[in-house]
Amino acid sequence: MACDETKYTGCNIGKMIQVKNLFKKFKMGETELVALNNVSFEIPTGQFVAITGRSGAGKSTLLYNISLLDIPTSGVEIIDGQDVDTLDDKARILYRRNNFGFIFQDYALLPTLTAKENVVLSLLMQGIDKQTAAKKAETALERVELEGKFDNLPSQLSGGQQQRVSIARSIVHMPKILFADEPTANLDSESSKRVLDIFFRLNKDENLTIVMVTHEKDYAKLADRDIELLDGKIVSDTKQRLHPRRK
Amino acid sequence: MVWKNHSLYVGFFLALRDVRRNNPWTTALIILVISLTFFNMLFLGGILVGFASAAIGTYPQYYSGDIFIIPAINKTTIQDTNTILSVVRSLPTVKAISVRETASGLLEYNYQNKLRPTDLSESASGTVAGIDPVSEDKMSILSQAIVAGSYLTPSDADDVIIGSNLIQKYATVRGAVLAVGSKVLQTADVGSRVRLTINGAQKEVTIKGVFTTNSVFVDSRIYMTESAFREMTQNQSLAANEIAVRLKPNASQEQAKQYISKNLPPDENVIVETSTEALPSSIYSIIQALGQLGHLVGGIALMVSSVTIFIVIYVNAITRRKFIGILKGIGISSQAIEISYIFQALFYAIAGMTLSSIFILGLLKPYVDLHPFNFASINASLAIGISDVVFNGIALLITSFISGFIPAWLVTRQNTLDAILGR
Repeated sequence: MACDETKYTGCNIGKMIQVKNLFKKFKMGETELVALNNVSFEIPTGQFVAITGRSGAGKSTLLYNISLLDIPTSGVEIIDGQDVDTLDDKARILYRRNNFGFIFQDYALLPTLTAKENVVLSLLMQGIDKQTAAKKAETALERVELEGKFDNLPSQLSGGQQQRVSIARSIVHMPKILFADEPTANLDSESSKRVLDIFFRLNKDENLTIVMVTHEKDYAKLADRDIELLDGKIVSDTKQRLHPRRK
Repeated sequence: MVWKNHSLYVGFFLALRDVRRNNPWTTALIILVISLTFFNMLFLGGILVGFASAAIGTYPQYYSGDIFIIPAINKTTIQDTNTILSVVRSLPTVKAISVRETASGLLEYNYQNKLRPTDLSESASGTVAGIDPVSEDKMSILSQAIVAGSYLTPSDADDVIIGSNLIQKYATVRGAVLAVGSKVLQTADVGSRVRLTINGAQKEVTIKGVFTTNSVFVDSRIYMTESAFREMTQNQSLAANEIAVRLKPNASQEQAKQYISKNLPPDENVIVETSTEALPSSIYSIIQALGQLGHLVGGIALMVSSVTIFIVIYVNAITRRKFIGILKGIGISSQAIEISYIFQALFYAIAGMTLSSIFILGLLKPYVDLHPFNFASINASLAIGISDVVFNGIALLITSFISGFIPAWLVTRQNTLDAILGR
């Protein structure tokens, strides 16, 4: 296949995510709902991709499937050259822990852990010693401008601050891919811009692959590429010019 | 199941923070519920065993001793008492022996005031035992059970000591529950002259002392010296009715019984019993029933506490299902999550058990020891020791472990995404 730079297919560059003929079907009583309908695309390393579409278009379902939180009904998913469809539940947890960062719409912080403890947790699970993990967590929180908030519980932080803790948690272990599910949906515009600025920095400075689901077109325009879904199908896959905000 | 070290550490990390930062009132309530269930486990069993121990306790002490020898069912006396005594004395573990001769007797007070012979006088009946006061006291320390007056001496020819159930003043003071229709001496007291009738023979004697042993059986007895008893009953034989043997501390009753039985003459017609075997069948069956009830109640209490911990952890896990999903989503292993819930269950169990143990052993038991429960003339204290606390504690810890693990396991095995999205 010839390289089509507008579609990012067939290009001879490092492929972080390859999705081929992905189907996801749900049973709703006696009817079958096709949430993803023959979806195929590739995402090269270091690309910032926005997945957009109306409510119910299948964008979150796509994100959950490529981030190994869900299992597709059929199709092939290759992450960084590895076919991940064959992994069992334990291996998927391990794979997520080592390779992915995940940001949820509602921040998904553990309410009984402080900001620093929320960040440190996945490092401890990797077997990193307490002191090193604490130091890495502090560095990650400083990168999202949360100095002085290390010991605050989530309930003592604003929504924007909680989302930044969530970002710190997702990047502290240097993942290959950062998945974000509507990361700005619960934030005001100022906080949203701050979160997106952090994404840009991570993408630019560290060549981090980012896949972000959003229903806000203005924010999607800031990404390198916009994959738009409708009724479980890709209806457009557009490479975008570098937005002035990112220059 | 192999848990990796970092799963263990992360599990502990999560559990510690969950417990520390949970709503303190919720934590306090959970601990209170666990402590009440542990209290239930210990208290009900303890009081039942306490009653059983109290019912047994005074009987071997004041009546049967550790080994009790009585005539065979078809005999009224121990024919060859001296031979049997020599066998018993040859047993190295013997500490003291009391030989008793017994007969039914009637005590009457103010009988002189009866207008007609058929008029009822103030009277009480009970078993009269002729004893050697010194031997009896070595065997039973009966002198320490005297609550009024004094104990017998070998030279007391016209004196008796009587059980508190036979004399109103002391029966009332003690709060004894007497059988309906039983008679007691209404106005007699220590120093009163009463008429004693044994097998038609009558003698006026003085009540020298009143004893109370908390055993209905013993407290309905009348003791007098062996010589006075023989003189009254005109009994020239040396045959006794009861031989009570006290063994040295920690000596085996079963071995002593076997030794005596083996060395008795082949034609000796006696029954040799251990203290448990010597218990009246009514007491024995009560003890057995209380023991079974104690085990049953303890078992039910253990089940209740397991279910309580299960519900507490299950509700906790269900309400945190989303967070469990998130934990799995960010790569925390199911094992670490399960361990965290097990640690929490163990924490609640240990905290509840500690609270309950301090209350029972530090406050309730000392109080009940001073103010025992009185039921059917039995003063029962709480039979709860450190070993009971440890045994029940271990049982509760094991059930807590299981009760903590199962709900966490049920929740962690659910689909991660379903848990996160609350589906």
